[in-house]
Amino acid sequence: MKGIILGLILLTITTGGKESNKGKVSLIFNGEKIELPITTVSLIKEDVIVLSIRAEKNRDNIEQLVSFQIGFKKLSTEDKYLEIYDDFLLNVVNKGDGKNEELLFRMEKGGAEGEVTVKKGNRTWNLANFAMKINFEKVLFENSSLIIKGDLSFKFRDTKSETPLEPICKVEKFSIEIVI
Amino acid sequence: MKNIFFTFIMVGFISTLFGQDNYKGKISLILDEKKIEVSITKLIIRKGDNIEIEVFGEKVNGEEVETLMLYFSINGFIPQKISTSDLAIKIDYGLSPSKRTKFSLRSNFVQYFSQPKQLNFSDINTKIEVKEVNYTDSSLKIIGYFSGIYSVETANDITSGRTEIKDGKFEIIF
Repeated sequence: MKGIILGLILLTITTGGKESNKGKVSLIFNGEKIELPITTVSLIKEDVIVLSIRAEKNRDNIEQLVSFQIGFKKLSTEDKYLEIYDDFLLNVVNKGDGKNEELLFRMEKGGAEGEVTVKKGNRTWNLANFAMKINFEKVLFENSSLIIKGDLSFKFRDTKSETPLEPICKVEKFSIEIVI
Repeated sequence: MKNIFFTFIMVGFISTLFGQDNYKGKISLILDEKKIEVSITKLIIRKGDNIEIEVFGEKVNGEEVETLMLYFSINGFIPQKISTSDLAIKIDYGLSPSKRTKFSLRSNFVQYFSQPKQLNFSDINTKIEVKEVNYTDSSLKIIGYFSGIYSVETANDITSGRTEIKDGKFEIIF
């Protein structure tokens, strides 16, 4: 009888403590692979649709964070283009184990205003040159969940450096799988 | 900062998503025999442990403004009954500040104000459910119904009374 009660308690704790799956992000940030579970995701529909995600891991003195926000004027299978229509934000943090790297990339509507700040150790760059690719390839409705999958990449260069073509900061193989 | 981004390469593809239009749906109900029907102006879907849905609607008809906020939490995009502990409703309509009717429900507490009545209810019986969820034509559509009868008796006429939400319906399109 005690065993049954203990089993039920354990089952309750396990079930109650299970976090809902919100998807994951994986990327190579300045050469290091980072995989994180998404902790919060939101979709806001007003004049445009704004997708925001936050993925993070913070333990054993290692802090890793990916925060991403993108706005769409319209999302449709008929559209073969992506228009950044609202504020765009990408924040990647990788700290601990001797590392202190951070990227903050923010762009306002239409790309007219924005900033890129890269930190590596004690050095900080404010960059003006970037290249990015964004590909949201799938949106599915499966098992009563909305699933959004996309691939992205970013390169940030310092044109005033001695090697202007060499990126100061790279975000490669950045894949997002969002489950709502 | 202008022109700072002189190199801007963006290649984008999208295969997807929701609707072709910006239509976000509507909410309708009858409060005190007053029919209210508002178009949704803002829609938020947030996923934490559950899926939280927050909807704002408004209708302007001359000097009369109707506003409505609906918040509820669900555990997946499936038909289900919603607990009142995960529910909030705010309704506000009328011509002038002194003639406005305000209804506010949060968890198990309801406030109602419509001159001269000022009613507070704690024992409520709101019924709300998601009846249908479907994903067609790249749009996620959530349809549900809600209603409730609220009454309170005190020694004072101003704080005693009854109000009712009838035929509440939401159609949310993302």
